[in-house]
Amino acid sequence: MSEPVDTPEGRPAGRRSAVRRAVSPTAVIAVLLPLLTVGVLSLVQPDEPEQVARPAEQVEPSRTDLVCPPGEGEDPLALAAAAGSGGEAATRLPGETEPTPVQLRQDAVAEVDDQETVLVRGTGELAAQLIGARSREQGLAATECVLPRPDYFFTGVGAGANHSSTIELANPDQGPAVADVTVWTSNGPIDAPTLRGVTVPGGTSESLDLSQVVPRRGELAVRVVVSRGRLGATVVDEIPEIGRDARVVGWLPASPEPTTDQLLLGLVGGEGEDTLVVSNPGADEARVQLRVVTEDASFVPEGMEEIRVRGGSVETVTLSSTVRDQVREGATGLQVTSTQPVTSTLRSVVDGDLVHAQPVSPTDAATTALVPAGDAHVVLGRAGGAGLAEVAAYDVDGKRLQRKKVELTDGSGAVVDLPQGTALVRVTPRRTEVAASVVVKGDGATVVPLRPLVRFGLVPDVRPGLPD
Amino acid sequence: MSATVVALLVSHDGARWLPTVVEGLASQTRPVDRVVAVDTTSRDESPQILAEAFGAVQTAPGGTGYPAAVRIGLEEVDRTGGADWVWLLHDDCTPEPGALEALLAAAEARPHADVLGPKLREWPSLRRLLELGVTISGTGRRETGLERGEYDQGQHDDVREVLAVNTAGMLVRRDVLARLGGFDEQMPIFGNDIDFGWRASAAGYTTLVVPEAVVFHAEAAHRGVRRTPLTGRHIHYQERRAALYTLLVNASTRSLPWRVVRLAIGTFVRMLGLLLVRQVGQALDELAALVSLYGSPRLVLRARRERRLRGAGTTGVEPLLAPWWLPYRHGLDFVSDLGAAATNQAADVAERRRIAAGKPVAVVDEEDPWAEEQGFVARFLTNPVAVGGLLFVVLALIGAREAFGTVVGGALSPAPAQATDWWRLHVESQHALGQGTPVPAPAYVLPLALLATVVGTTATVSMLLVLAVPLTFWGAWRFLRVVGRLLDEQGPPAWLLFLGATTWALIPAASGAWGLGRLGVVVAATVLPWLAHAALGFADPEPDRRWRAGWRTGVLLSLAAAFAPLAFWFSLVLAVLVVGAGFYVSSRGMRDRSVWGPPAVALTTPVVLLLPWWLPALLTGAGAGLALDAGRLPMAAVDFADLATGHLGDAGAPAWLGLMLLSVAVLALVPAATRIPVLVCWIVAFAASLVAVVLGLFTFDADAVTTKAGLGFLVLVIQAGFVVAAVVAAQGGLRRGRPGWGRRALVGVVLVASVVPLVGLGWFVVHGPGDLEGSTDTGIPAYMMQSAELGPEHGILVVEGSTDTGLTWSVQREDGVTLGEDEIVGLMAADPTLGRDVGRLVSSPELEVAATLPGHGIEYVVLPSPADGSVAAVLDATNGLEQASAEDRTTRAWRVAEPVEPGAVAPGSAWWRIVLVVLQGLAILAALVLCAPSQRKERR
Repeated sequence: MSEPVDTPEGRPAGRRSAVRRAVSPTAVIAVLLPLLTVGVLSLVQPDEPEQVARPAEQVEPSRTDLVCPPGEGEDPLALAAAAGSGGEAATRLPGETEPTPVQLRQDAVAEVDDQETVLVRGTGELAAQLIGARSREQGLAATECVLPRPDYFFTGVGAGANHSSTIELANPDQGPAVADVTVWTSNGPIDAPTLRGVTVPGGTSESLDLSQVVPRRGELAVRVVVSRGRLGATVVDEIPEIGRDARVVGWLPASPEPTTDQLLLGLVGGEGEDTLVVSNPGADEARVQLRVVTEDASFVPEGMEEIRVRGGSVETVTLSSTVRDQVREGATGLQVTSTQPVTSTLRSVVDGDLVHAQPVSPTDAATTALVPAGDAHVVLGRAGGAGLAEVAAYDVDGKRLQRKKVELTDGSGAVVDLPQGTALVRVTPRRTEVAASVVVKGDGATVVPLRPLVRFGLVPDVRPGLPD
Repeated sequence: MSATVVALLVSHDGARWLPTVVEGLASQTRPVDRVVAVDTTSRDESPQILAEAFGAVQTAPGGTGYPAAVRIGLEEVDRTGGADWVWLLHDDCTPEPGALEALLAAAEARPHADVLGPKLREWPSLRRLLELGVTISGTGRRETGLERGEYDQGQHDDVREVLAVNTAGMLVRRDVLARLGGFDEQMPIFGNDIDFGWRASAAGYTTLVVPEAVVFHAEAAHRGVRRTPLTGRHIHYQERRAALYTLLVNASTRSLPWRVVRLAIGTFVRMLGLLLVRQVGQALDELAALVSLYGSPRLVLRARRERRLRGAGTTGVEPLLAPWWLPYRHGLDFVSDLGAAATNQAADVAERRRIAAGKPVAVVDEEDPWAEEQGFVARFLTNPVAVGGLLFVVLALIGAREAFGTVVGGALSPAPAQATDWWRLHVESQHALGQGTPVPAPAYVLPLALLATVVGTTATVSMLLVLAVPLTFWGAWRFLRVVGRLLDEQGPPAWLLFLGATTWALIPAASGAWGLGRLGVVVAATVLPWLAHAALGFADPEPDRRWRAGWRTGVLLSLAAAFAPLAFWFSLVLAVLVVGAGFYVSSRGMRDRSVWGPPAVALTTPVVLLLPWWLPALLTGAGAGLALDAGRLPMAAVDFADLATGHLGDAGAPAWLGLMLLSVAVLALVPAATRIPVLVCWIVAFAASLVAVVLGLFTFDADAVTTKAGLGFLVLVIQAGFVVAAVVAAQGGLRRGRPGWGRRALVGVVLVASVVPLVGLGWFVVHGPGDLEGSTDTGIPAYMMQSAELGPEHGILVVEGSTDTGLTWSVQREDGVTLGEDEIVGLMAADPTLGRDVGRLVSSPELEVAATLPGHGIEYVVLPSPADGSVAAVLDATNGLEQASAEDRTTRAWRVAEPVEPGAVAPGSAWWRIVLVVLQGLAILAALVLCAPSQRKERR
């Protein structure tokens, strides 16, 4: 019964109490307060303080150390201050404490006769300009001096009787440096305890003859990780009983970090044989595709099969017929693409001389190389778009002998002959990027990569933090 | 012929009692022969009354003490013909008609008796016994051998020999009085009777108490009813001085040195006890009495010489003195009284309110009639709640397994090796952390140091974590029970209490605070129910209890705020809301100082007690610490969902548990009967959400870290509020609900809600350890840590990160960052010079900055695993850094070639810091004394 009951005071009393009961203040608050509380709480939405990456700042380097590999007999060491005002470099042999000064002028080449590993230091302005290379006239060969870095890959080294390699580790600093060397074979990585924690005392160098340390047949790949200190690593390759001489000795260029796409630029024409060594340091199998690069295009030659490289192993492919044919047709390099990051080296024995095509990558920066004596031409490849490349050649005194401009289109390349007496070559791309190597022929042949001189010191972003 | 007895009546402002005294004298069955009255210049009509009754009145100056007045009276006695006996009477004591007759009869029966005293009964009650002879204890306490307020039922009615009798009603041979030289005037009002009795006994006289003779005594001076110029306001001083004097001048020479030492120590112990019960004036009186006597040894020596000259021995005294153990017995009584007072007031705010309101109090028959016949174990095992509680605690301890022993991880840094490390951290104004910092130690270091001094540092942390859940359970149980009893006299049923308390106790664990190692939040959560319980005392009907509750709440709030500073901000907002509502509802009632005062005291206490923390923190730019949870920075980000479901970031039990609790708290608003108390719980949650939303706006940017405010405590408070709301509503529903759908719905909700503690407990047992573990790897080689402990200048520069993403540096000194140092390290300003030098160090080997490192107090440089090769290469090439070994090959380390510079980084403690800390200590003591329970004496 919903009618209000009559009270002695009259009807309104009942209605009033009914109304009051319906909207009792506590009921109102009971509805409002939770809503209010939850509403206020919903405003608490903290934006999580983000940890943004703070990359390092690039600055002019204040000091550069180069490690130049040892020579054999009369292999001159060339030093130069590329594209700068020059300065005084300091060379030092392992074990020496007092450095020998070497004056360098702009783009001029100075020669040093020491046949041991040479440590070269450039400070101040020279730090950004210093380059160096060791070359050999008999059985023409050349190799760059290396900047110490924490990680090196060498693909196609040997540790047997018919191919043996020696790793040279040089420590430019005062304190000891420690390197760990990993070796991969066609059957996977091998355990070599003697190659773990190789210590190189400060200011000295150490040779690791792989045929002594891990004797085995077949092509190998090696990774040198510098776990402590700084080391310059180079590899001297020796292949007895092939070719014209009793033995062939050369320097094996380091491979860049494993990647899925690399360019081996600079093929030397002539009779010979070619061996491609591919190493897959990852865990998964890599399928590798080879393309031949010419001045205008790149293509997969007929009959070229996909190469399968198991994870952690090394695969060796003989390419003699294909490559020799293509070089005759104008091929300048090989492009190696793969499904997994790999490293690769193309070793050729041309007219009895050992030649390595150089892994180079396109860049929009000016690139430089020291050129040993001989007939030389610059090979450009894989232009990043339409543009120009200026090729300048200098003699030992820094005098410019030639400056040529080359039109480039996307993916194209070019070959530019260099005048006699060229000691230093510089390629400056305009509005595009391009990769370049120098092919030199003399008593034998060699290929020299052009490297960008974008050398900088990294100043990391440093700020206070909390201890763990 | 019978002996002559002269009554000697001394009066001072005794007009209130004198007519009765005169009457009493007149009604003696054996009348006195003469009355000699001495008045010491009363300001009332005493002289007139005396003159009317006894004729001539001897008048002495106003400052005359009792012994001097007696001397004047005796001269008058001698002048008016002498007497055999003198009957000493005060103006506030009146004899029963048969008193003198009984005394004389006793004297006749025992002719060797020289001093006789009556049985003293209280005036005006007339029934209670005051004294039947007195003696003195080794500490100078006047011992009557009676209990306080003992009724006279003839239980002590034997004539016996005593050391002394009160001068009120003392019947003494005139010649003995003369031979002993009267009373010692060094004791003008109090204690001269004991000294007299002692001398009498020593001189070979006998003092008897004659219970048949009864004298009623008002003890006007002792009770402060009468103030004379001699006593002033310091009655206690006079009494103590007299007691000490008596002991010192009468003690045997052999025992004197011992007594001197004992009384001094005893005085300090008594002072401490008096301070504990807030009797500051009496404590000072104690000290003053001691100083006044020890400061004038000649006075004592002269008095001793006098006694020696009178030929006093000590032979007869010893058996009459109080036994040696009596003071210890009194001490024990004092402590047990205090304990009883503390426990008695625990649960009964509700009851006291009921009594004050004149409502019936439920007689809770907790005792099982069979209980007496059963053993404890049987009783325990047949009580499901007791078994459930035990099971809960055991499971909670299993969940807390990781915290037994050393525990670190999550936000919890390792404890330092010793309690002194914490003390040092607390007292230092400049810490050897980083490059030295004035950022103060967080407030919780002091309680940790106190606890660690007793049990050790590792055990302190372990204990706090292990006992968190059981102690919260206990506190929540007590709190919920009182809350329930405030609602109705029966209180909540035990099973409901159990459900509520377990849910509450699991909050710190289920929220993830426990597993994250947020020690501050966990401790604050443990304190919370006890704090809430103390705050219930604001509703006590007695003002004094309200004040005590204010102090207790204040101290507990200080403790909670020391561990979770947000506890203070929350309480402030809650107090504003509640007191504001109070004024709205009854502004007249709230104006009473004892109503708004206690909450104000509670809120002021932490401000004062935590001063050495928050003031320097604000001054050194570390004010962010006032809004952070204790432990490693940064704080876990807490958002709306976390607050609503009771979580700290991603940690904790499944969120649906919190959601269920929220739903139950909303449903709790439905029953109208309990809506108001449930709304109070919601106001608590609302206050917490207000604090959360305001603090959520801030981001604190320190040099080393960027963090949001630590909202952990608020998460817990909201959850606790929900639990209380649920329990309150359930209790109301169960009591009032009639069978029907409403009741069935209620039972359903309770059943569903009980899933929350069940699943919560299960989760804790399984996932209890969370981020906590037994040890931690800092990535720094052990030998470096050992070297670092040689001193603060052997610092380790730790550079983390990579060149690509940026590097961070920090300096580790001594034992690394330990518990209590996290906030300092997080909030301190980084040294810009060192920052620049580190930047140069890792950028280029050319810059020759390694040589500056010893000046920064750095001995080693470490790149923890995985070290960035390019940075390592730079450091390898740097002159002045030597490679150092590390266990882990991916960790790189260098030693600075230059030797360390002692004092490169030195801790320090400025005078102001010490002053602050001392003041804090005194304030804590004072606050603790003020929260001690009310005692009956004060309440009377």
